[in-house]
Amino acid sequence: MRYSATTPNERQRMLDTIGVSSVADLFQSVPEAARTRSAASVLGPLPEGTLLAELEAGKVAPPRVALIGGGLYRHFIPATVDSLCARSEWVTSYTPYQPEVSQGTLRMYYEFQTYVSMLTGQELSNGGMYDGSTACVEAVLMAKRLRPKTNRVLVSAALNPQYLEVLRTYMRFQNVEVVLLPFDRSTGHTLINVDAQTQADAIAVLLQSPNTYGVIEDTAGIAPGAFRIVVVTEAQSLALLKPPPAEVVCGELQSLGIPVQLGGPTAGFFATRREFVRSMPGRLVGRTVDRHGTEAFCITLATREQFIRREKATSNICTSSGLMCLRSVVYTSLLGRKGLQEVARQSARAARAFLAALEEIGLKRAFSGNFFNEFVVDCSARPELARRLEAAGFLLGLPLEAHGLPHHRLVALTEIEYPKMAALIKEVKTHAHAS
Amino acid sequence: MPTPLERVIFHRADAAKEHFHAVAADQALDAIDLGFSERNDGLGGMEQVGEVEVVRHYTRLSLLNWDIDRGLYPLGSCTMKHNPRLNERVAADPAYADAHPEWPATYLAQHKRIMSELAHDLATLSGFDKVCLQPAAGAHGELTAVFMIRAWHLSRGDTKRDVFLIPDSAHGTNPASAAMSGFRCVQVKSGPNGTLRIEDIQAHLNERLAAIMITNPNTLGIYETQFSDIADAVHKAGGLVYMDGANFNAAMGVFQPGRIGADVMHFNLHKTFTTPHGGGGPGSGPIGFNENLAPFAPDSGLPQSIGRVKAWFGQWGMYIRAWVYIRSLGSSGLSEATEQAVLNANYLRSRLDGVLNLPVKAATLHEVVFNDRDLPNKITTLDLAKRLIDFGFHPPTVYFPIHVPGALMIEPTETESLDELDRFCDALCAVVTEAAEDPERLKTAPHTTCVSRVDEVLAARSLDVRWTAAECG
Repeated sequence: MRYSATTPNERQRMLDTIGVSSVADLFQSVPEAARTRSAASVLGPLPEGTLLAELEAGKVAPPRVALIGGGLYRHFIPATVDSLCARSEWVTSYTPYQPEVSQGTLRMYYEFQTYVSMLTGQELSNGGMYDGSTACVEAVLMAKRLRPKTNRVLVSAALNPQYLEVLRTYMRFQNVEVVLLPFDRSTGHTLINVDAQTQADAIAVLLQSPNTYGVIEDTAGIAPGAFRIVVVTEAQSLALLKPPPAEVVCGELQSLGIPVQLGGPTAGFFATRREFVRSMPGRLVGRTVDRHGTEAFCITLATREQFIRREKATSNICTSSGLMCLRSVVYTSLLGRKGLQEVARQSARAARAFLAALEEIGLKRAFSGNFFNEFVVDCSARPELARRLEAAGFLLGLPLEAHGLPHHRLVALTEIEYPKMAALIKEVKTHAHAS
Repeated sequence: MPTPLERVIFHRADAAKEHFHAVAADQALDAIDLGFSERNDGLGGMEQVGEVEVVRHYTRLSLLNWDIDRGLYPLGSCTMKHNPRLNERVAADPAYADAHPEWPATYLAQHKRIMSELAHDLATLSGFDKVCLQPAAGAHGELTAVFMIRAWHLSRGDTKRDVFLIPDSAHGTNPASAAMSGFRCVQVKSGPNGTLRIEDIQAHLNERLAAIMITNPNTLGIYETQFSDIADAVHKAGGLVYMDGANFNAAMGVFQPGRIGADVMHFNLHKTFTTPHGGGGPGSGPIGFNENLAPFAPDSGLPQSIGRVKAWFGQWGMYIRAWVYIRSLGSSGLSEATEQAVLNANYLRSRLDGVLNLPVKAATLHEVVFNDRDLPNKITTLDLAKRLIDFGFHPPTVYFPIHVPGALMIEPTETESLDELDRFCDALCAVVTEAAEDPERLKTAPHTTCVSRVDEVLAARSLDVRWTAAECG
C-alpha cells in the first residue's frame, strides 16, 4: 500500500512481538457472520500519472465569462494566500487541544476573531462556522436558547434561498415556525409588515444585507426589543458597509481569499455581543499566560462545547473550518483596511459600469434600493440576449425564474472584471445589436 | 535554532504602510459614484501590514504548530494519517477550485460524476444502499442522520419516540446531536469487557425508544461483539440504529456496517479518507443509509426529505481529495490500510502493556486506551502527555473516553513506520521511568516548547478573545 513504508520482514517482527501468527488473528473479535462478503470493489489502485491523465481527459472547459454570485463570489486570490496556506504546519495539524504545540493555530484563531469583530462592528466573534448557511441557523438556535418560550422566527423572503432551505430543515425539528417577511417589489427591501409586539415576541427577526437580490438592507424598521440577526453573504461588502445594528451578525467569508469550489468548504462567521458569549456556538480562543507569565493562547469556554458538555452543549460542532478561516485571515492581513476597501470599491464600480451598459441597451434594473456588487436586471426588453451570450460562453447572471421573476437575472461583478470592463460591455452590446 | 515567539499581527499594523493591490486602477471607472456613504469607523482599527511581514508572520506562526508531516500525531479517535500531496494538487486545480455551483449543468458534468462515484464508492465500502454527501463534518452528518430518524418515526405516525440510547463510551457529539433534534439522551453503561451488553439495553426497549447510537469499533478500539444482536433487538422494539463512523478506518474491507444492522452512519472524510484536518477543519461528513431511510435524505428529491442541511453541494473540495485517495489505493489498498492500522495499534499495545495500565483487556483494533492508574508520585495523564512533547511527540488523546478515568487514547494509523512507532514507545517508556525518578520534571512539562504549560483557567476567568486598538497605544 502506497502510504505505508512497513516491509514484510518488519510486519513479521511486529506479529512476533504481539504474539500472533498473522494479521488475520488480530481481527478475531469480528464475528464471522459480520465479515464482508460482497465482492463489489472500488476502482484502483491507479498510479499518480494515470490518475491525473484521466482527470485531465474528463475536464470540461469553464465558461469564458461568469457574472454569477448568488452567495458565492469569485474574487482575486493573491499568490501569497495560496502559498502560505499550503504549508504543512497549517494543513496537517489538528484542532488545537494541546496549546503548547498549537500556538500558531491558536494565534491565527485569535486574529480571526479580531478581524471578524472589526468587520462586523460587534464586540466579539467565535472561531468560525462550517459556512454561511449553517452560521445563519446557529444564530437562530442561539436566539432560541435565549428566548426559549417562543417558537416563531421572522425571516426576510430576500434571504439566500439555499440558506432559507437549511434554516427550514433545522427549524422543523425545533418545532419553530418560519414566518416570511415579504420584500418590496419596487425597492427590493424587506417589508417589516408585522406589529412591534409580534417582532419583540419572536425568537428573532432575520435579514440579509446585501440581500439575495443584492439590495442593501437596514434594521431601522425593526421594533425595539426584537432580537435582530443580520446575515452577510458577500463579506467584501463589509469593507465599505458597516452592518446595521443587530444582536448577531453572521454569514459567509468565502469572498475573503477562499476559492468558490462549488460552495464548499468555505468559512462561516458568527459575531455577537459579549453578554451572549456563554450561549454562543462554536470554538472560541482566548489569550492567557503560561506558567512563566508569557503570553499564550488556548481554546476557552469549552464548557459550552460537546466534548465537555455533551447533551447540554450549545452546539454539536466539533471539526469546523480552520483552514478556510486561515485563508481569510491571511487575505485580510495582506490587504489591510485600505486594500479591502480598494477591491470593494472596484467590485461595486464594475457592477455599476456594467449596469449602465445594460441600461443603454434598454434593460432595466428591477429594484431601486442601492446595492453593492450584485443587482437584478429585467431582461424582458431583450429576451434572447442571455441565451445568445450563454452560447458564446458568457453567463449573464443567474436566472430568477424560480423566484417568480421570469426574464430577470441576478448579475454579480467583482474586481476580477474591473480590468476587462470595456471588452465585456462591447461584447454585450454586440450581441444586443445582433438580436 | 529556537523559533521566536511571534506576537499577533496587529502589532505590525500601520495605516501608512503600502497595501496589496489586486488589479490596477482605472481613471474612468474610479470616478463612478457608489451612491452610498462608506463606513468611516476605520474598520475598528484594522490597518495595513507589509507583504513581506505577512509572509514572515504566518510562516513563523505555522512553526509554532505540530503537524503530521513532522511526525507521529497519535490522537485516538481523530485518525491523524498522512495527507497525500496528490490530493492537494488536484483540489487546487482551477477546474475544481473555481467552479461555481450555479453554473449551467454542462459545465459541472465532471464534478457531478466525481461526486456520484464517491457516493457509490462509500456505499460499496460500507454496505449501505445509498450515500448523501452533503453534511459539512462528522457531527453535522450525525445531526442529519438524527433528523432522518425523527422523520422516519413521524412518517409512521410514531410520535412518542423521544429517547436516544447513548453508550458511556460515545463521542460528545452523539448526545449533542440527539439533543439538538429534541431527543432525550439515556446513557447506557459498557460492560466489563468494554462492550455493550444486550441485557443492559433491555430495559429501554419500549415504545419511547427512537434509536441507539453505537460507535463500532468503539472508542476503546474494541469491536462491539453484540452489535448485530443489539441492532435486531432495537429494530424489534421499533427503534433504529445509528452507527458513528468515526472509526470506519478499522472496518474498511473487514465488515460493512450497512449489512450488520446499522440503518445509518456518517463517514469522516478527514479521518478515514485522508482529507486534511487543517487545525480544526474543514471536515466532511457524508452519511450512508439503507432503503428504509432513503426517502428522508436531504437530497432525495421526495416530499418526505428532511430538506437541505448545507448550502449547495456540501464540501466539494474534500470530496475530490477523498475520491483521489480511493482511486490511488483501490479496494486492495484500502483493505491493506485497515490491516496495517490494526497491526500498528496492536504493536504499540504489546510494547506499552505493563509500562502503562491497560484498564480493559479485550482485543482491540485500530486504537488502544491506557490510563494513569499505576503511575508513581501522583503523576497524571496530563503530566505524561505534556512531558511527551519534550521528547518530540504530539500527545495522544487524553481523558477520553470519559468512562475510563485518566484515559490516554493512542491511535497510530497505518501510515506510521515501525521505526516511528518504536521511537514513540521508547519515548513513552522514558517518560514513565522519569515519573518515578524525577516527577517534578513531568509536573512542570513541557520544557522545550515556545510556551510552557498554559493557564487555561485564567483564559476562561478573564475572557480576552479579541485584540483592541487601545493595546498598541
